[in-house]
Amino acid sequence: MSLWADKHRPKTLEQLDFHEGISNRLKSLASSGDFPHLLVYGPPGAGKKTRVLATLREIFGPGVEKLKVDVKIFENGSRKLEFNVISSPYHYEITPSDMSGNDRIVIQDLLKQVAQTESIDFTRKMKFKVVIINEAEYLTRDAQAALRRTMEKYSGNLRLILLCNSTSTIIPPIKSRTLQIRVPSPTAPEMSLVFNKILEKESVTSFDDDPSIFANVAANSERNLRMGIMLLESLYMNNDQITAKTPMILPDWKGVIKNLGAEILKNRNVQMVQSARSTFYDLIAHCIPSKLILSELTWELWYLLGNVKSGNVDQIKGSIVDACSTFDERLSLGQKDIFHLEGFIIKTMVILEKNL
Amino acid sequence: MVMAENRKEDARIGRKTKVRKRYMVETDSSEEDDTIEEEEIRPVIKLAKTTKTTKTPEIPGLNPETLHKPWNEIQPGLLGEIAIHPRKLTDLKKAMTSMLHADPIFGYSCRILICSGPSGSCKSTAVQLVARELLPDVSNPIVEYINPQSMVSAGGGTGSTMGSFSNFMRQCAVLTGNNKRFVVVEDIPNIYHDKTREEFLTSLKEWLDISEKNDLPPVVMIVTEYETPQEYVSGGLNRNFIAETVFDREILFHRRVSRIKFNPVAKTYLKKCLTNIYNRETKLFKAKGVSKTRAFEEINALSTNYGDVRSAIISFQFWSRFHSKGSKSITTLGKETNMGIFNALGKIIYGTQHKEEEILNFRKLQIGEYKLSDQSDAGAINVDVASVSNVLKDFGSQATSFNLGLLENYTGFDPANLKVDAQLLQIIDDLSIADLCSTRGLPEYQGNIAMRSVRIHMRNIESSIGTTKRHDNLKFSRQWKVQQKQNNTNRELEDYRLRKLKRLSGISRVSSSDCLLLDGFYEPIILNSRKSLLRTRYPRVGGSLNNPIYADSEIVIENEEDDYFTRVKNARQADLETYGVDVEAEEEGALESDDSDPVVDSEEDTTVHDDDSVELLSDSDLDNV
Repeated sequence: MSLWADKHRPKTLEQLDFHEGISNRLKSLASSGDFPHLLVYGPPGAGKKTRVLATLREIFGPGVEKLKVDVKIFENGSRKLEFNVISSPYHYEITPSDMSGNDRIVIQDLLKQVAQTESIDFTRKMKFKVVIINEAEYLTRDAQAALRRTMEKYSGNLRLILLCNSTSTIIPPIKSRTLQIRVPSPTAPEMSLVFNKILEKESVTSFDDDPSIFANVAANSERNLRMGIMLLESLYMNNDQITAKTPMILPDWKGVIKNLGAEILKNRNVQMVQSARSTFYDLIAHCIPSKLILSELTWELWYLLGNVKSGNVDQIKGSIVDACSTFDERLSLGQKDIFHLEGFIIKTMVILEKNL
Repeated sequence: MVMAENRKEDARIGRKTKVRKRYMVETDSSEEDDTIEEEEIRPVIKLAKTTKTTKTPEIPGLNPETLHKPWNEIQPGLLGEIAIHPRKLTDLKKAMTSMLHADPIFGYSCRILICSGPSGSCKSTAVQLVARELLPDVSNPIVEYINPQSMVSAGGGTGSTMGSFSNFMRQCAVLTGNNKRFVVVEDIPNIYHDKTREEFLTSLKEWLDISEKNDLPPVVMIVTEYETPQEYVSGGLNRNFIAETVFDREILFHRRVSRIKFNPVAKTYLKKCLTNIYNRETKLFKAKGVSKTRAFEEINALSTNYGDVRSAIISFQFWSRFHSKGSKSITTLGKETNMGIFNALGKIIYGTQHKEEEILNFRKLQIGEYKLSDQSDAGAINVDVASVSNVLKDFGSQATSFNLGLLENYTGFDPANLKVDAQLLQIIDDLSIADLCSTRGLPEYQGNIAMRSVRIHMRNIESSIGTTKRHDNLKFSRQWKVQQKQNNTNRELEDYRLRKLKRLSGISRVSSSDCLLLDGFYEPIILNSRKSLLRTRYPRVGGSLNNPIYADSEIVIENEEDDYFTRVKNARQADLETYGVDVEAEEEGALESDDSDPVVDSEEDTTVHDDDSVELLSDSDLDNV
């Protein structure tokens, strides 16, 4: 037994259900036996990783699925850094956020090691190895600069695949050295198709035959397919019969932020500020990224203000987004997130107080 | 016999010092003078020590041996003279008596007594005196632990500090029966070194585990508590040196451990103590031309600010020795009372309560000693400017934690009337900007901006809402607690991700952000549902939300670490039940494969299975689905 989202993850390019165009292009890329460095980007849960892994399987065969996790030690001056590297005989996977600021050293060392070991097996079709960098938007500038040199120097026996949600933090030299592939979110009907397939395979019958359920799931998961499938399974596991009225099960942290948004609209006093601070600290202790908290909160306020009938609602919305951008920048520049999150809350309260 | 000899010697020295005293009166105490004294003083001190241990009653009136000896080393000979609350003394006596004699039925009820308190609060003196009273027949009722690290031994010493404490305890275990003494540990091993701390705590726990029937010497641990600036300690965690951090929960709440908390010495006791000294040394004061009223003025001034007996006595002696006509009060040059974090936060957020003192301290800082008598500029000084400068002096170097303290407490300013308005916004905006300074290479502005902004706007707010002064209690910032929890969540997340990865390799891979934001929540929801037949509840990664961390006014010991271990254990158990994968077993294998080079391995044909490394093959039954 395994979670549906993992169990039904497509392994080959043929099994993919949507974005046929992209899949086909990747297929022809794979059939050529070689490919350039790739930069695959798009919102979460759109199938970036799945596509990349399917492509690798297409090129190297099922061997890419024989994974192992190694603890590799990198030396940074006198300090030793331990770091988990996932690898198969054909490729490596790394995640910069695990390296906490040491990503330049890890990436340089690892790529050098990989690139300098040439394959002795001449019968093998592909002479290069692949390094997948997950969440590439979290690469520091340093690491990206190092990457740029490595990409040129070792292009003979190394291929990089960068995966990220947004390319805005990727420096232009890297962008220009990669083939960029955008994988958009699936549409609601595409998601429904996937849901139907899964329910069929699992022979689940407890879902009512009402298209609005799937539409609802798709909307609530923000068209993130992984989240959608998780949500679907949670609904199935926690209800005997799922109808259009069955309440959705949303992640707790989202619920907390939603509540906070509603509270701010209702109460704007010091007690509220204090309880918001507790909420923020709680979220931070659960490692929820502060930037995500800020953006979710802003969207929630935006949504809630849509229901408010007041002349200058648009102006309020504008001011709140303005405040959000200010404190978002400060989150990047600062050290302790709590100052900036609280700053946003109070700024928002003052804006609301003045205009509502 | 010995005592008689000592007296004879005393008399000899007394004569000698009397001569010297005349010499001193005649000349002004110059530096030259001091060096002569140094040489002569040495034997005096030596003798003073021996007399102390042999319990020579102190002679009232002129006491020649005390003339050149630091007064703080002269201990009160009688329990009555000690500068602590009588009730505390009774508590201490009761506790120490109960440790000495076993109850015939229940055995020893208390094995270890912890005396904690700030420096100069009479902890050691009280323990020594009580010990002497309880064991009057033993010449030296106390055996003390000496940390080899704090001794610079000429003969090379034993070297290892690690085993020294447990060795010491083992040796002490034989001090029973007629040999019974109090084992006093004042010199606590370096608790900031994890291994040393572990050894220290283990040997204490072993000591506590010895059956109550066994005869063991009573152990008294004396902990001088102080605050460490949090930024200087690695990990940034709360590592104040207090009993709560020196010992762990198990020891502190052990039924055979008692604790007595000493407070800073109250004004009345300090005054009594200084008066005693004055009475004893009247002749010296007279010789120096100190009038009684002047001396008592000084005693009064000293006892208000201190709370630290040792330091107060030293200041008193210093003042009396170098007193000349018209010289200033010691309080203007003596100890600058060290500000506690709450005191400092209060000054910035609520404003100071003692305006004159604040301005005096500020002028001391800015103008220097000599112009202090000139009061003409005092009126022009803004009290807020003074407070901020004074606080900056002490806390400017640890601005990050101080600013977090401001953040935690600024909304506690008369919360019933405080409004969320432009003023409050300005404060938080400036705190936010101050935080940016820390990473922009401008750390010196960090404290400056925050403190000034808070003080200015709080002053404005105060004038707009009036001064009801119904403020909240000050609290410690939650940041360190949160950070600790965050670290645990991160470890848990990594554990979860690796478990998932091992289980699912070949089928699916989950990024850490997905683990955090989606799987960490949905997997427990799915596995704990009614339809699943899991016996162990699958915990949410990082524990449930809505379990907020509160700010405390006191330092509390958290058991977050325990929660974390329980969660990881449950998660692994649940994994085993659901997926039948034993992570622990695989993990051992994975650790062994550390040195195997994946690059070299992977050069081989993929069908060859390396024995050392764990190949994570997908479960065959999963493949069939």
